[in-house]
Amino acid sequence: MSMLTEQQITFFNTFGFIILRKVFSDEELAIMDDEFETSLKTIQGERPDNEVPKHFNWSNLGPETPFLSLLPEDPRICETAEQLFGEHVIAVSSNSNRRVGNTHWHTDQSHPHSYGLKFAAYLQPLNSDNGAFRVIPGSHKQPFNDKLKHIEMHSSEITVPYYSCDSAPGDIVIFNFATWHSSFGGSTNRRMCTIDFYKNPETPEEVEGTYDQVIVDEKVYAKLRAYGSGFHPHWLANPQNSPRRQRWIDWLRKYGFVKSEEA
Amino acid sequence: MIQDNYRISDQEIALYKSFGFLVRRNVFTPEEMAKVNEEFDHRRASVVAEIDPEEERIFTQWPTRNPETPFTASLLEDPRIYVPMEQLLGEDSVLFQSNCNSYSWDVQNWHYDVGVTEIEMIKNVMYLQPTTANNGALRFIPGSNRNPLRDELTNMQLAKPRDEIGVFYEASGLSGEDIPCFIFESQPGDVVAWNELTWHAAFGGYKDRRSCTFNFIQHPKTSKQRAGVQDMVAGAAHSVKAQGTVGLQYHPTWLENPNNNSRRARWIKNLDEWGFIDAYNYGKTETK
Repeated sequence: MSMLTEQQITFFNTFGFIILRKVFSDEELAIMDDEFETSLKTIQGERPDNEVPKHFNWSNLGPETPFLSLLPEDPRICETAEQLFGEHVIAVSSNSNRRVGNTHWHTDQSHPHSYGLKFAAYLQPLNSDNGAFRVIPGSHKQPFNDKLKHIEMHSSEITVPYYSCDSAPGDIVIFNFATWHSSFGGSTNRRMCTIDFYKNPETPEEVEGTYDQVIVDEKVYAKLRAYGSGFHPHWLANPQNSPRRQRWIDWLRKYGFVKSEEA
Repeated sequence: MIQDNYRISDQEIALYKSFGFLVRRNVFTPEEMAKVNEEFDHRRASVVAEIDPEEERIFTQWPTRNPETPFTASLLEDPRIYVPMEQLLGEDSVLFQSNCNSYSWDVQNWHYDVGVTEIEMIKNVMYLQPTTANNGALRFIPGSNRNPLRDELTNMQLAKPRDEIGVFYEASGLSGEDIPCFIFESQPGDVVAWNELTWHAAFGGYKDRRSCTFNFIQHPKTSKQRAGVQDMVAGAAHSVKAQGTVGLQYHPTWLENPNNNSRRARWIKNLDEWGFIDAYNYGKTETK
């Protein structure tokens, strides 16, 4: 059974994002909250003086977060990604994020021929004033996407028009990496789980974009001060012999997202 | 605070060119808006007296250029309106339409205003009452003045007329209010200017929701643009009839230009040359 209807796919393709409501049950949310909290405490405890950085980011692919580590393979997630970006789409990360304050306008696309989509599950109720995902609908499309690069989006001279994706725990926002987005007014403890998928490259330009993405990802994780390895040995061992996961791992190794020492 | 400098900044120009609309806050003072509302009250009363009481109207419109609303008419030549338009459309652009509108409908479904794509037109709107998302605020789909987005929205049948449901809405269970957009919540005195190809809508309207509009057109220079003007002239009579506009778009007292305003003189010359005066005032459908 398809996860998204034809109209939902049209919506995503037209506006560059979609909100899916009540994807996770209350029981699942309780597990997600618990795994998030446990990981956060562990990581915070390992930092000098329990330092709390503005942005905490860690991988969910370890055995200490069993529910979150399986989310990329949850049919509600991976089959939706396959509907949107093709059956050969690859899960490349599953992270938890604890953020403080504003995230200014940006896209997640690092190369014009590198395509991906992000699933974001926020663990608290959010609206426009307290950190909800803000989006410029349709901004993944050219020439609109490029035009926005020439605007000083942070300038006090202008107010960037946006749509606020107000959400409740259990909802998922899915967006195209190329879609411009931001978040303002967030609390000191905004919690989010994300899963990223890349489109399988099909042209020489897309292959080049994928190799470029490897370098960019390393820089991004360094900047985010991400905790631990993105790909835990336990996840790479693929103990359940999931063919889908194995295909992803082989792809991640081929392009260099998984280094030999991680294998 | 009112802008001392009437020019919009380079960043505002870039914003308009990217998004297809530009919001400008506090362009007119509360005192000025009170004057506009007062004139609106008087003129609306006389317009209602002129129209057939049996006629079912969801919208009453009259041109701003008339002697009964002198202050509102003076805004056409106010630099807070025309200076930004000349920045966006060229110093030879022309204010070709200006109306006051009293709406009765609750929904203006998604649409864009013009069928002519060759020539750029900008509509400025100010609402005379506060608007909110659920109370008649205008909504815009960013960047929808351009393709591919503009045509994709057409293909989704977002623009079905009142009481009809488009295929996308029917199959998705969504309504016009669910379409992601920017909502122009406004106070009297705020002005939004938009490319007339940009998709927009309003929901939660009410009886006598009020607006004033100032529409500018760039000076046609290419043969395609001149053809676009011809198309507009050909459709003007139908447009006036369909909208039930009461009174002449270009009132004789305005055309007399008693103060010899040079900008108005240029506008009148162009409007006459292009056939707009004959078309909008008298229903003639051919350019000169």
